[in-house]
Amino acid sequence: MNFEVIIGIEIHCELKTTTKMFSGAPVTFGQAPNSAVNEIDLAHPGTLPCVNKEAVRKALLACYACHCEIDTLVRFDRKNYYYSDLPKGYQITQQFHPIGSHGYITLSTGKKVRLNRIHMEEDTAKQFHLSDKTEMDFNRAGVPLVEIVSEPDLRSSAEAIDYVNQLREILEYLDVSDAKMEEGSIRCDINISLRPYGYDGFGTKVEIKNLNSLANIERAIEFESERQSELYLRGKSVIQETRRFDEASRTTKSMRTKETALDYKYFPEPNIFPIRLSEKWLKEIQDNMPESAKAKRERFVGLGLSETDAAILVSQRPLAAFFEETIQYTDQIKAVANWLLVDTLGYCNKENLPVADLKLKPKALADLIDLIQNKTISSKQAKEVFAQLLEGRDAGEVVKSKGMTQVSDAGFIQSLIDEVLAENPQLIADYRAGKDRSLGFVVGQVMKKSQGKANPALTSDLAKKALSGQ
Amino acid sequence: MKHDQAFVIQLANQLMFTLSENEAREINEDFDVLLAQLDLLDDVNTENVEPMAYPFEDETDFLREDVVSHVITQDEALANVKVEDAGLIVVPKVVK
Amino acid sequence: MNKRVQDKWTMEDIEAAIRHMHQSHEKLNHVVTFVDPRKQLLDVAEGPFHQVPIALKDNVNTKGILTTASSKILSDYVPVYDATITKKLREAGAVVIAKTSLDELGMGGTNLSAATGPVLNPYDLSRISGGSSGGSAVAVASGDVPFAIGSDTGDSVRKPASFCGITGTKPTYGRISRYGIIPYASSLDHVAFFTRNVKDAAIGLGVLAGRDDHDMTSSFLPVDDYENYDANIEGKVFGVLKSVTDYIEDARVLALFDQLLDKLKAKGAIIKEVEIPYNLMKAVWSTYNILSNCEATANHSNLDGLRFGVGVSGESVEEVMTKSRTQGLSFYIRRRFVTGSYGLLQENQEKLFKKAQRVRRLIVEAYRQCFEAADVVLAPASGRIATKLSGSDSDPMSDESLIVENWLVLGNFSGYPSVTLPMGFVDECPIGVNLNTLPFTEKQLFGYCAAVEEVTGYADMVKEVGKDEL
Repeated sequence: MNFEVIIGIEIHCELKTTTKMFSGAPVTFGQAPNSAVNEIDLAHPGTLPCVNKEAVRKALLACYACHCEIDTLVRFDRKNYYYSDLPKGYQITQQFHPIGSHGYITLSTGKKVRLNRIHMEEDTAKQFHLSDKTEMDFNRAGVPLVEIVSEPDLRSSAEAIDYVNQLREILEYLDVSDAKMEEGSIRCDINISLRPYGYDGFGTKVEIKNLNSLANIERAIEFESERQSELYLRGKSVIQETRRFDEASRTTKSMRTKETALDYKYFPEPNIFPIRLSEKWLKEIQDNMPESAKAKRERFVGLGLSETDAAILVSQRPLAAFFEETIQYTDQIKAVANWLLVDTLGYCNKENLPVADLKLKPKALADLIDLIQNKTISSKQAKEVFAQLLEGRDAGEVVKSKGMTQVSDAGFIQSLIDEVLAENPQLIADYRAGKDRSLGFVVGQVMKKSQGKANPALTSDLAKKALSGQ
Repeated sequence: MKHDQAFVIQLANQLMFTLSENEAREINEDFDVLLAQLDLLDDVNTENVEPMAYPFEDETDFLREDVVSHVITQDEALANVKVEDAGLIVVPKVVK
Repeated sequence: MNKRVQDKWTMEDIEAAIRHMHQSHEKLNHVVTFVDPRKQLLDVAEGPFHQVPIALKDNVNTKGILTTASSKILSDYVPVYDATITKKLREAGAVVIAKTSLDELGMGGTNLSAATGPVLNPYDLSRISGGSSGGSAVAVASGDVPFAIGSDTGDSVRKPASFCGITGTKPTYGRISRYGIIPYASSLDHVAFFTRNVKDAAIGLGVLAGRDDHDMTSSFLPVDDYENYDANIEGKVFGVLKSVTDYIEDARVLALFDQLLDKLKAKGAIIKEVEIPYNLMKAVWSTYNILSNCEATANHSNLDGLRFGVGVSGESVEEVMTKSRTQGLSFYIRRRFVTGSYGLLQENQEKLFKKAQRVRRLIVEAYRQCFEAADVVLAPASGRIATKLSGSDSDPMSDESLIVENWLVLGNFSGYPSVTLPMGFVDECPIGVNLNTLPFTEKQLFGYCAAVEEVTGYADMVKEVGKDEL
């Protein structure tokens, strides 16, 4: 018997803010341990939380982008449990009144996945578990998070991955989050249960905690549906429990069952009065929503790019941003796309360099493209110049220092042609008698006289005219 | 509402402390008093009354601007810590 | 020493105050830490408290100065930050000379549970000071300092003020920032303080009051010129809370109160009776017990011995937390936490915590209605003078115990301002009267209090206990 897989996903996403959810300490990455904190993040006695406006704004952006209903009265609750990475012994979250609810996300197939809620909360400290001790860094403690909870609308690991990707793209394009799983700014918990096809109810669900990559999401879902299916087929039942994915064995392992589940004793956070969001501010946020990835792709196609090129450019937000800045400086839109998709991405891949870390400047690339267009340099020279632009140099400066500037002054070139023809008067007759190599000879002589700087295409045109007597 | 000595001990352990036999017995007896006091609450009809979580329920609109306003130094962060190593707080191994 | 805040203070006075305090401490045991003032004296601000020696309850965070909350688990905690009020008092010129004893973590009404032992009453060394702000009450009553900070969650300033013959002021919730005060129950906690006269209280509130962005529950309302209160009570309605006076058993206490009312009447006050339904008054204590313990158990989950405080070593981090909390928190506290946790359990929350929150609403509503008929609501602060250290033999379920000894909690449930000041003596021990007004009307309240002070003549009482006097 085959079963239908029922999947719901909870995503924790770190918000991109300057300071923490409830304290004015900075959000940083890679700073010395316990140096981006204050007494609030360490839950020293007597400290009180103070809600970060930008975190609320970013949560609202996520809500709007996911078509959520907004609760304009922001309230927080305490989730009580003891764990060494949770300094207060409770997490401030939004259990009873999430800021957003009843939204949806559209998969690439067009299927809509309903969202149960989006709520704000705070991150925990980072722990390093060594063989004989645990080391703790509180820089991450208090970093703003949104938790995005889907309804159990997903039916396969492919859909689950599609869902995560769609959400990731939305969050990245809103600038709500870096949305990088590999850096931990997005973490997934998966709820999974099976049911016989055609059956309307739900089977017992199992939660798999803290999946940190798309590959692991896929593996965990595959393993878990197989495990549950086997249990059912052997006439056994699935226990409601929380499991974790073990990367080494690529299996899921039990953490705790429903019987030992914690009672979080939620209650309203008394230190934060309910906060009313003004209509004016909400409108301002809606009116200034950053363009979504989808809208951007469509706009790029409208600029004349192919669907594929637009999709690749948008697939990385820094790349799309680079493209947009570059076309501010040149109208050679297709050429910009080509240079980015072929040469620039090629370089990034070869060097394993993120687009955001490129030294190449949009203005420099635009200038390069214009220099080719107006025939100041040849495409062969352009490759040489581009290599220099990747070092952060300006196009004009490179071309000048290399003495590459082509001569496109028609009068000057004509004078050189006249010189060559005067020196070799038989050329015109030869040409007219059908000897094509006369043309090549003239162009070659002109190039020689100009030390290679004469624009070859222009020289050829002018020489043709001179030889044919037009 | 259920309560017995074992339950009291379980509650305490969830709160990350232990109780002696005597302490657990005393608390368990306390619950009888607590429940008796509850009768006093039950004398008050609270139908259609919302819980009051704050003394005042005037809504605010204040939110903190997202500007770094207060950081303490690593030395201060570790000032009350027993064991540290290269700026990290060191504790025995987490079992859970 | 009976010098007042409003008097001019010299460096010599500060030295004298410190000597005085050392002497009285030997008798009263009210000091946890004597603060070496030398560093502060290098930079004493001009202001209403210029060179005034003050004491802070030891749950007020003082940067670099031991702050224990009279709990063993914090017996080595040296804060890295100042409470907002610590800063404000320093900016007003005050010099902190001591951190004073409290019931462990502020949870109690006797000051018998402090880690440093009981605090004694200067009027009768066999009696309690009252709590939880007993150390600060005694510091003011015995003439060490003219001003001391306390905190008031149930009646923790206003009850000891009654027992020690001084003025105890608890302003409106949100009037003074709670940032940096080691909490008890956040929705009930107030910063409050002791003085020996009403004028000093008004000066003190002027310094302490005001919006603090570190405390989201602090009020934006402008701070009044409290010192310019109007003590003329002609035509003002004094509402006697009959629901309290009806259950006072000691006729001598009632007689003192009646005399006071007569004198107020002679000054032109109109005396009326106001009432709160009996079933609500009977429920006050249970409501308080549940709410305060539920909030407290969460508030103190940060006391785990990991980032600060006394950490007991163990094999695992869980063992460190468990041992630290078991050994660092007295049985009395652990018992309250278990009670609070029981009330928050999902299965009990509706019947206990939420029920208490609903009853709180009804009590506050009934209390508010009293002010429709009266400008100020008053009753004796207690039915008795301070009890003996050995304990009281009164029935804990009697109306007097449940209602008279707990009615001051109305000020915490509602957040309304409330002041206790001396009313007279029974058995040579003081007893106070308590006055209340509507939120943020402290200026008017001080006016009514000044009228009471004028008719009783009990301003600036000091009970010396030092070596010189004994």
